[in-house]
Amino acid sequence: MHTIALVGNPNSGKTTLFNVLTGSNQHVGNWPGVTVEKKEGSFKHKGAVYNVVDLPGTYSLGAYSDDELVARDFVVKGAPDVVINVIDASNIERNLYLTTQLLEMGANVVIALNMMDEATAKKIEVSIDSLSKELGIPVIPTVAAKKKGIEELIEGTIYAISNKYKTLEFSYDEDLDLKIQQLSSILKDDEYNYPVNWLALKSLEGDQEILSLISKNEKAKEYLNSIKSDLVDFELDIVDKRYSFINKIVAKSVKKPTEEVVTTTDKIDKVLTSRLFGLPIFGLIMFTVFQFTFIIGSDFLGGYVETFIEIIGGLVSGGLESINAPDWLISFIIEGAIGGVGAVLVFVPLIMVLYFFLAILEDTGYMSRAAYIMDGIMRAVGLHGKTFISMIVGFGCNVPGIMATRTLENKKDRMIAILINPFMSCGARLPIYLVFIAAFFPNHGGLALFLIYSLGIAIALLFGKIFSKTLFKGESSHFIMELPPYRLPQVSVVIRDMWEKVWDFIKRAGTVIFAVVTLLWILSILPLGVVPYSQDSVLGKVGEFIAPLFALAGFGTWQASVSLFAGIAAKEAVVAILGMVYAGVSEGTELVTAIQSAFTPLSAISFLVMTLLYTPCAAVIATVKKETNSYKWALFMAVYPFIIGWVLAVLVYQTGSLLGF
Amino acid sequence: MLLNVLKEIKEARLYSKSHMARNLNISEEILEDMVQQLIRMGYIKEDLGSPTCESKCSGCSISSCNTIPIKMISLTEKGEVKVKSS
Repeated sequence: MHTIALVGNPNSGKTTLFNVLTGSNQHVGNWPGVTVEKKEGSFKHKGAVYNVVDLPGTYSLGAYSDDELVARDFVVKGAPDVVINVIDASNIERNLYLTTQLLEMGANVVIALNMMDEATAKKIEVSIDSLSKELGIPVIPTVAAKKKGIEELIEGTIYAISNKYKTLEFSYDEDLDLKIQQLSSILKDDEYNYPVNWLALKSLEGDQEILSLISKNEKAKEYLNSIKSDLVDFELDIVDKRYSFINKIVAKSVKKPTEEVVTTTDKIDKVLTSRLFGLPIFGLIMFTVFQFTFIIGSDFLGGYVETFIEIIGGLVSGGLESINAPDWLISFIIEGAIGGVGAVLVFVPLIMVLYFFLAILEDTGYMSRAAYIMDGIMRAVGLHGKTFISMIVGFGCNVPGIMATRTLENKKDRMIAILINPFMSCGARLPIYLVFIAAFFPNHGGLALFLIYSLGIAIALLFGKIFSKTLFKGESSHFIMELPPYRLPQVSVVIRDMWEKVWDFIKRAGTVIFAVVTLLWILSILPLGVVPYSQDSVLGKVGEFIAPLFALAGFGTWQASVSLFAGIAAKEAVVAILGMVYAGVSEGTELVTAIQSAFTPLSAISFLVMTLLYTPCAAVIATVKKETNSYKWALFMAVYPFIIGWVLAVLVYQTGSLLGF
Repeated sequence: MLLNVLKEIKEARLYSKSHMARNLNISEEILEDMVQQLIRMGYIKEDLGSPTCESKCSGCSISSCNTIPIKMISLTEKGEVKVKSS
């Protein structure tokens, strides 16, 4: 019985062809030693039975995966009578790489030029005769899915079994051909299950599987060692030769419709990534996003969550009073839990809208352009362009932002990227900005938010520059960024991305923030008998102790101080604690009113600057320790942003005061 | 051909398949294939700029690891040597 092997790229229609050829006469197993599926079947033609083996779909026959190894071992060792190489006619160039490798092996190949209907639909014209002539093997057009060309393929395959075509003489270059020849003559003395020419070629290509196979041949090893310094070049040259061969064949046999010279993406990019307009457009887009965030998130949706929390608060309060619950429990639930956690939760609509727009920018492909625009600026200030990727991630959360710096191989680049990442304003800081914006700048929310984020970026760039000139000097490596074609955002992807972030925010409010609020609530009612949330409580004393530190910055109250202190545990805790400590305050508007009386517009700006820049949360500091494996850098990360935040906050407040604000 | 792709990656400011394929006078499909080959052979490397999500980003508000789909390509040391020696 003759054996026919089916080889082809994934999605070339190989399995469809296998099913058409074998019908129900097939069985599935595994290739020995690997978890790669083995499909075998048979068909009868003119009284003879032919065994068909469907080899795993693969792009090449190297030793990079089990699929490749199984396929090439079967072609070489299994010695099928014919190999049907299934090629996707609409993507000939990519598929021909595998063909060239089959020809190198000296396999008896017949090409099934499949999916001809798709090629026709794409207006790709293939000259079958020319292709067959250039490759030196039969090429039979098929549409396996519609059972077209199958009879001709079977006839052609059976003909090839008894009339093997002369294998194409493959020449690399004179030097390489000579080396293949020399190594072949050394290898021919040993018994291998592979053609020696192919073994020599693969050895020169640096194929680890083959090098291990011939490792017992001392002469071959000696020979390879003698030319070792050139090995890298051989690998590239051999693969390059295959591509040149493919290019030549395609040029002669395939005619494609003239591709659009300047695509729509190119046209858009010409403006969006231009040196002149790129950055202002990026700024404008971000400003618009922040503006819409306020219009939709605050004006349209903002009241719903607030009302909901108020209703819940009212119901719970009423319920607790009706069952004569103790005062401490009512205080904890209403002022601590609902007042604290609720103060964070009322910002869910705004966060939802902001991440919705950011997800749209990401899904359209614009974020790559933003990174590209910033890449130019990063390089100009001596930073590695990849730093901006970790900075973008840091806008979500600084923990993954710092982890994203792992893509920077150079220690200098990585350390700078880690140290400046916390200046990227994470999502957890958003509620702080939002509550202060609502209190003092409700009509300029978008602009205020835009300025806060921009300040974070500017400080990050400034300190990146300072670090690159002082602590970490050296050259950065070159890289290029892919700009994928623009596409319309997919609603499901955008909603999923947004929801993941919002859900994390809600989860955090219910867990970490709740824990912080509980702890600080306990401190706010101790020692027993003290007026809750008063300056005399433990919490008040702690705040009072810290407060003088912030007096020069204009917010030297114990409440503001203790909220900043809590913010080191988690940034959302700043708002939660403010919500709790301003006595009688529950959430939302009432907190806004309390803040309006506790701060001035100038001290509010100063406070915002401080919260943007000061010590990152504990999780970030722990991540810095983990990523740098150094307590020194973790401590540095805790201290230096605090100093910068404090200095800038003082500078803002004092300058503003001098100017009469 | 592959060497030209390497050189183009070394010189270019951005990786736009359509743009680079036009520069090299090859199709986008073959360029993509060549880039994958060069990655497999260790001449260039690709990373997606995203954090590895091996550990939970616990302790932060946005714990779902952000996956920014920004692909970056750079020459490896082997690739640098090859370009320099050519």
